[in-house]
Amino acid sequence: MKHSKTILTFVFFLVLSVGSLQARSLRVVTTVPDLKDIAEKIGGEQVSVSSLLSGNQDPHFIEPRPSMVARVRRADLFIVIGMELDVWAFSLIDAARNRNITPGESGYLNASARIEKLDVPEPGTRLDASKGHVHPSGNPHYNLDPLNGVVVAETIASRLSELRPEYADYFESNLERFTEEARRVTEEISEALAKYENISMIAYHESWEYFAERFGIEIAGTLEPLPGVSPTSRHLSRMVRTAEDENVDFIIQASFYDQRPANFVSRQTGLPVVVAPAYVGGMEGADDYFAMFRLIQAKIVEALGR
Amino acid sequence: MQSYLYKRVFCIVLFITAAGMVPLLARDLSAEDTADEVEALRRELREMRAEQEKRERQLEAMEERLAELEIEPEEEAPVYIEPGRPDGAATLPDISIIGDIRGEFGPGLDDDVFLEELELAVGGFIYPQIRADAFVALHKHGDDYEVELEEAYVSFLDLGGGFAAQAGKKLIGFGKLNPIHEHAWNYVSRPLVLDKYLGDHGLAGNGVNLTWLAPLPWFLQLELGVWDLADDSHDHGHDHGHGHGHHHASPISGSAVSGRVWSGFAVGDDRDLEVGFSTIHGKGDHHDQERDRVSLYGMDLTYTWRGTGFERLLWRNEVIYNDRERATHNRRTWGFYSGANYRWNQHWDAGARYDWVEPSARNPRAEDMGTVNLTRSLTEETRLRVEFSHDFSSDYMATVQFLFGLGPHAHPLE
Repeated sequence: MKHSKTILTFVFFLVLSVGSLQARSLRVVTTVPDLKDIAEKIGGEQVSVSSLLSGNQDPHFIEPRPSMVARVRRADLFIVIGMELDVWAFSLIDAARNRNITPGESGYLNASARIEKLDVPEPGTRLDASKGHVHPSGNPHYNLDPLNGVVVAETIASRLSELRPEYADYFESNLERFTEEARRVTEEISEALAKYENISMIAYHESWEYFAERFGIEIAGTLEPLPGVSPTSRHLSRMVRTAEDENVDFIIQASFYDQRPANFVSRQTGLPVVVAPAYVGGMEGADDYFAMFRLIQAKIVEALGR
Repeated sequence: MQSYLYKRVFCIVLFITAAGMVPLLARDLSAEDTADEVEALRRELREMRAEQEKRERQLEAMEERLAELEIEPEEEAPVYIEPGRPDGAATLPDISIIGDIRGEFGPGLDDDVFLEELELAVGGFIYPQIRADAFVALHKHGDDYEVELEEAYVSFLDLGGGFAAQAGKKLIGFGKLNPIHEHAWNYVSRPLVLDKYLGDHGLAGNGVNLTWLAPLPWFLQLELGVWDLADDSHDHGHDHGHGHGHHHASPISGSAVSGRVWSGFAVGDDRDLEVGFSTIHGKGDHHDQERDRVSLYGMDLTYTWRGTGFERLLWRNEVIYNDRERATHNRRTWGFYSGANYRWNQHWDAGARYDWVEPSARNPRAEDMGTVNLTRSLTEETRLRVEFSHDFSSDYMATVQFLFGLGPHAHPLE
């Protein structure tokens, strides 16, 4: 009897200590939902992730809100897109009183760190507004290449392994699964587009450079005369000519931009308009990173089939 | 003996001469059978060419191998580029200039276009977790410009335990709009209740502000400030372009204590609600003669809804209660504003605001004003705004405002 009581006590303390060893999941906050989805896929049940923005919001200009401060304050890891896309994240960091997530610390992760960047201004370029909204580090829309997703996943996996070394193998196996799926999606899109030769498109904003680079699509022009500058009627007529001269197949734009300029060019040229998600959750059906690409693919193939 | 030496020298000279003659002789000789020689040379050339081709192939293979090897280190050594400025400016603080050019039209106004304000902002980190920010402005006062140090303070961003502090000259955190610079407001006109109760330059003072962010899942911040407010920094005596004729100095002068409780939380995925309570207590601006003391109490309520892309609805309200105690009698008045702004895309925003202030001894009649405006944003900091205000009797004002921003400009959390 005395014996069983001792055993019971022992078991009780064992359960208690295991319970306390079972550390709480890492709180990860991201600026955009793509980073959230990738962090969730790599971190699995070891992380609880939330994104400050939803997929149908443009992350360029965001007014940081107090409710965001509260979320960043309690974060173990804050992941940003970087490349001057989400600079507003810095005022959140300044207000959050959470040293772990300040740049340079283990809780701050710039997901663009290992990305091979496109459109990096040449040294000596004027970085003022004379050429529109210029990003000194290059084009920040790298999330729209599924293999860049792999680079981001690797960056996140290595940071999670630093923060939770005991789960490094777990993160590694999740990364492998993610990489496999990303390669499969990339192949699927390449195969689907291989039926068409010399695909050429006009984009609203310079959002699709990485996507076009990956799948060999020509970008004949943008509806914005310069990045961040709203389309003018003169520039749109120029784009109508470009569409005719350069055998453009379709117009593509993120779901959150004004669709009137694209519709104007479409009416003049008969080109189909592809409205696609630029971030996870940007449209119905883009529920995760891979679903987003499958949706973009379906919409482009539909436009090419016309 | 000597003859032997001569013979020897002669032999050597002869040998050398003969050796020197060999090529000449050879040339003469080879001329006889050129064909063989040419054939030999051709063979040699072929061999050399074959050798060269082999070398080139080897070189190509080596180059390929090198290229293969070079990809690896690129993946292994990521280049960390933090958001920031081009290389040359990396050691500079954030420097920016904000300009406010206005055209004002209406009864009693000059109907002209002028530079209302030029603000120079410099800021950056001076130490880990410590920032310094300074804002110097040139304001139009009548026909002249006056330099004003709007703000210059040091922020200790993390003192531990959720505490942070600022020290220096600062706009006091009373309500929502007072701590925000006018160029970042959604309207050109200053709400009447702020103009009358906080002064037409807002409440600013020298002092220390301590803030505490509560460790809660939602945002709750407490602020406590101890200030020394200037005895009205300008001696105007004349209108300076605000249009409505009279100047309102800060109602508080000398030492003052301020407090604010500020909470913000998400209500649903895309909606935010913010509530704040503010107070400040200090000597009145006629304290020397009237021994008056002023207590201001404010409540603010902000509702934000974010839709697709840039779409946003912002509804902001502030109520201020003004309690002025004097030896002879107390005077309590209140006023409010309520304004809504709807931004439907990246470039366009429309707003409407209503102001109301209770009558007081200085203004025997309740004052109210309606304002509507339309803003076209060129960039985040550069805007063109058209605004129309009417006091519901006879006075109205139409304003065109062009705001421009040059250089990196940080805004503290609103």
